[in-house]
Amino acid sequence: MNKLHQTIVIESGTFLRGSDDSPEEQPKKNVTLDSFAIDITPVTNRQFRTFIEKGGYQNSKYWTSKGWEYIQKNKISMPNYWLDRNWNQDDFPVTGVSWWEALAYAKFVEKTLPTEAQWEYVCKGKHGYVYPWGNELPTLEYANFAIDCDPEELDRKATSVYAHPKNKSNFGCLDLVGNLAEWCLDNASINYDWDLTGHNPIFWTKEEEDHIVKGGCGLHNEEFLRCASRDYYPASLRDNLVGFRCVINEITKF
Amino acid sequence: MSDLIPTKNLHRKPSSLRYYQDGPPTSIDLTTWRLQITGLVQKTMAFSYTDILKLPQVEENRRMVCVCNWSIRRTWQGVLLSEIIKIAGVLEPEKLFLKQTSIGTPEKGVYEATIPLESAINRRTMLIHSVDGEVLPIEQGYPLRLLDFGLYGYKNVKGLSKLEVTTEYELGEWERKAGYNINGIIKPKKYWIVDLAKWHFTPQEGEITEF
Repeated sequence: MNKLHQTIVIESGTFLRGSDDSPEEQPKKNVTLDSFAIDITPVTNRQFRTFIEKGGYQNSKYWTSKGWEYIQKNKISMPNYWLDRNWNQDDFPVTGVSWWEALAYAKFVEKTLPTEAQWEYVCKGKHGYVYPWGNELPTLEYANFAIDCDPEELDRKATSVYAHPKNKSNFGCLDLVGNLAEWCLDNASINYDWDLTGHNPIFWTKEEEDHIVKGGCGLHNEEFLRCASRDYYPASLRDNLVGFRCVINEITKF
Repeated sequence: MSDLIPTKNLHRKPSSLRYYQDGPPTSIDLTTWRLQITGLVQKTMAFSYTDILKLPQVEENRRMVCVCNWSIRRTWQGVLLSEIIKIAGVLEPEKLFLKQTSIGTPEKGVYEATIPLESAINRRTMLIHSVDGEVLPIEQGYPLRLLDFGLYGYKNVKGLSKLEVTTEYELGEWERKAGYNINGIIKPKKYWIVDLAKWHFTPQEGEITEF
């Protein structure tokens, strides 16, 4: 299958990364990215099932050495919520996957994870929106999130990646915010002082250290739904807060 | 005790403030409940609830933080962990850990979490029986819970039944279950401040003291 199937090509462009809303989102800077393609939706359970059925958890070629060591040591052979009906429906975004599992899946489909800057550009679009759909404040019609971080039910569940058609970015990506946050390639940083060039930026320390997630989830409130909002977790995190989508950086050959 | 001001905005509690992994127990009989102190101590001990109340009491207004990105400042009453450790007698706490075990329930088992002992003592970790002048609600850890305010909530056990001093830095419930860090140190992040009903970024790790 053409790898660009179910992706959107993002042409090379420049956008204003960050915001004035929180210190870790500063300094604001114009960032230029080369062209790339990004999945329209987060990776769903239906898509991830192929990775499991094709032996992805048993084949070291998809894993970094530290990722392979992590799943071997912890006897991991499926996502953490793979058997939980609240999270495992076909069109739900896969969750309970560590950063290493997300990266292994991406390699399996010959893609990778987005950098934080790529993700934020896709979310803000060409107009620099606050949220993927624009600047209107979120309601539950827009996304699966928790007002005041207080979900209506303690026994939370995901929603389909197609459940909120208004949750669509200017570029056409769905379900970017709410439902599940999304792993990025970057390690965590407490601001953007490290970025001196503003060209294809990525912050990298060690793969086993914390990684950035973007977009917020059903446990967090509208603050995390802003495109510029940032969060981070250990690479080992397998909680039902985080999923992912993939990118292709070398699109000229397709 | 000081004149306590009730914590604001408790009517909008984050779900994890109500969350109780291993319970809560349906009821607790204070006549039989004991806090066991075991392991590498000079005296194995069992404190009754009355024993705890007879120890030197402290009341501290401090902020607890959940790994789910929210925080709440409240006034906690109880005893310092250091008081219990002093009575039980521990040599070389800098080399040791404290394994907490909950009362739990027959259906869900117990909750366990292990923390470095010396840093817990240095951070004035508390064994808490009351909050804002009221006995802890059962969902928040009655009859006694531990709080090391430099660590996320998942490292602090509600409904304590045992403290074991050990050389083993064991993975706890959420580290095993979902890959959270074993050290559980509060990270520099943006947190939803329940009592202020607003977001606040904290730039350093550990206990949040600046607001």
